[in-house]
Amino acid sequence: MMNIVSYNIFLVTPSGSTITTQQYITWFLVVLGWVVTCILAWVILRKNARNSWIGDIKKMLISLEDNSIEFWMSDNEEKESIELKKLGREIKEITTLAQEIQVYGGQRYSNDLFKKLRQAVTTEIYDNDKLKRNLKVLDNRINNISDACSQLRNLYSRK
Amino acid sequence: MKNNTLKIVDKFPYPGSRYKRLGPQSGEEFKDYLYKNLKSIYGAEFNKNLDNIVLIDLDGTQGYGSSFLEEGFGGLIRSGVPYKLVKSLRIKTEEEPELYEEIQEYIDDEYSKL
Repeated sequence: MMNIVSYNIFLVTPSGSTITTQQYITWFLVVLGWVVTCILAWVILRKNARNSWIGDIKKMLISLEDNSIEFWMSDNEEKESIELKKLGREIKEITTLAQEIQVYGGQRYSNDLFKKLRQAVTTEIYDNDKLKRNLKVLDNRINNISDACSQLRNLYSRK
Repeated sequence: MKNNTLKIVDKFPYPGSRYKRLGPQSGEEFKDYLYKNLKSIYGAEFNKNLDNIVLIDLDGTQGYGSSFLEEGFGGLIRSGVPYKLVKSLRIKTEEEPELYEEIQEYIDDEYSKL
C-alpha cells in the first residue's frame, strides 16, 4: 500500500492550530510588499529632497551672483570688508548644500567650479591701498562671476 | 614623531579680508598665527623636529575668502618658511574639499615667483 505524500508543511502553534505553506507564502508576500514599499519611499524621499535642494541652490546662486556683481560694481565704502565676509559666507552655504546633494545621490560636487566661484567673488585686488571696486560691466571679474554662477546653475538641474 | 593639530575655527571663526587694517580675523593674522605655530614646532630656522606632522583643520568656519587663504599660505612662503615644509602641511577640509587644491595653487604660485 502506497503512502500518500502531502506537500503541506504544518507548524503547530501553541494554541493548537496549524500554519500551512499557503499561509507562509501569504506572509512572505506581505513582508515583501512592505520592504518594496519602504525602498520606494526612501528612493522617492531622496529624490524629492535632492530636487528641493537643487531649487534652493539655484536661488542661492542667483542671489550670490546679484550680490557680488553689485558689490564689485559699487563704490568703495567703509563697511566693505563686512560685505566681503558676507559673500564668503554665502559661498559656504552653497557648498554645504552641494555636499548634501551629493550625499543624497545627486550631482557630484565640482571642486573646479567651486574654486572658480570663490576666486571670482572673493579675490581682493588693491589699487593704491584701496580695494579695486567700481568695476565696469565688461571687467573680467564680472564675467568670471557670471560664468561660474551660470555653470553651477547648469550643473544643478532637477531629474 | 608628534601630531599637531591647528583648529582654525577656534581662532578664526569668521575669516575676514587679506589685510589687518581692513578688520579682524584677517589673512595677515592667519599667516602670523601659522608662522608662530610652525616656528614653535620646527624651530626658528624651520629645521628641527622635521618628523612632526602639522594638521591644519579648516572645517567649521563661516567660510573663507580666496585672499585670506592666499595671504595665509602664500604668505608663509613670502615670510621665508621653506617650500617643502609648507607643502608637507596636512590640510583637513571636508566641508569645502576644493580648498585643498586652491591652497596648493597659492603655495606653488608663490614658490614659482621666488
